[in-house]
Amino acid sequence: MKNQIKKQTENHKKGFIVTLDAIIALILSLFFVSYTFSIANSFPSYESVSYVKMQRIGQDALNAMEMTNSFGSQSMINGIFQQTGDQICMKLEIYNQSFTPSARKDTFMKPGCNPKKDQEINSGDRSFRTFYQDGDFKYAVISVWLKETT
Amino acid sequence: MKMKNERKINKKKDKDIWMKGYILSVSALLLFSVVISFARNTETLKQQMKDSYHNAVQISKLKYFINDISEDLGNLILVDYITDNSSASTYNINIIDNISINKTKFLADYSPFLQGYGNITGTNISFSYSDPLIVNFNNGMQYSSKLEGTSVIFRNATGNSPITNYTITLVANTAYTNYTEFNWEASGTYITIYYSDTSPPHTFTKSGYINSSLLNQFTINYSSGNVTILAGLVDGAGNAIGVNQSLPTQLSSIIINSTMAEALPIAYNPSLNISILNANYAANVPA
Repeated sequence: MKNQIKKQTENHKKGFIVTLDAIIALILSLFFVSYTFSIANSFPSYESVSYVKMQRIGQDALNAMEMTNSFGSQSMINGIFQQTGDQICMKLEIYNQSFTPSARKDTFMKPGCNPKKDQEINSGDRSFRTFYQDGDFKYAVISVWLKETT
Repeated sequence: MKMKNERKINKKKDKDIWMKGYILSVSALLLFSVVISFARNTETLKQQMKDSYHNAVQISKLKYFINDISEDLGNLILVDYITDNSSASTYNINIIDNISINKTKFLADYSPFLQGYGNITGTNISFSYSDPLIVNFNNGMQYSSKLEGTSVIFRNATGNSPITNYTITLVANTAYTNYTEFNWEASGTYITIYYSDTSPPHTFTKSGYINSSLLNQFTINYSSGNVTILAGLVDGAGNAIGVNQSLPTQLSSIIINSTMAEALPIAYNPSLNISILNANYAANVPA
């Protein structure tokens, strides 16, 4: 009887240690897995690289427009739009002196592009350029996105 | 005796199990440590890649902003240059001074506008300027233009200008009444003047040599006021060229063309300070 009680106590003790061991192992495994995932998520993603490329294309287009005095001329703007390739979509907005909806003067969309159909434009996709025209400083704001292929 | 032996065997068995457990735990911990150490190294490497990628993006953005501001100042004074046919290191330089733009108003409005530009692009931009607006060249040449448009001069800031041939083009808003020419010489610095005005249109072209160590003046008179082309010793600078005009100004643009060896425009005198996160630029606006 005494031996049985002692054996039972030892079994309980063993069970407790096994459970504790399993819990520690689980915590360590979870820590390891979450740590690995956190590292994987910290890499520059394809989207962010693509976003920078889109910005560069926008900046190049704005630079070309300012150097050729194209702001305000639909045909010259379209000429520069066409140089950017079929897969690239662009929308150019001209603002008078301040970047507010009421100051927006003109909007030029690259032919064949539709922002609602292709992609929702958010502020992060925009590139800005300042220029001087007709005695005032203005902003040219360009949004660039990839055309949706169906 | 039998029980004692059994207890001894059990005790040994327990000890073996504990030992095995200990070794397994230590192995597992070692394995985790090695994997975590690899993961940490990879993270550091990737973080370095990410940082250099972000820095490259910031520097590229900085370059873009500087270029944008330089292009804007080009509305006031644009320095254009191409390689001369005679030599790859000789440049044909065109300085186009747009007198019709009110430089004082332009620059006064530009500083707050740039601050607004900084706000919408997440950039700190500060811009400061002084009168006159100057473009410096890498060989010591300097083009200087008073903001109110009354005086421009193209000279060597530290000595005599090396230029032997100047072409100056003046475009005026009103018709001239008469002009008084330079004292043309048989040799010296060769000057060509192209003049045109608009209402009613007049044009004339004059050219010849002047003595570059003396002040020479070519005065064009209007019904009110005059424009004087200065060549030779101007404001203490030898072999320089400049234009003075009375107020209200008659000219809408002044273009000075010359050929110089190893001379390129470096910067306008307004100073610019731009910072985007870790990238910073604090110097004059490049021309």
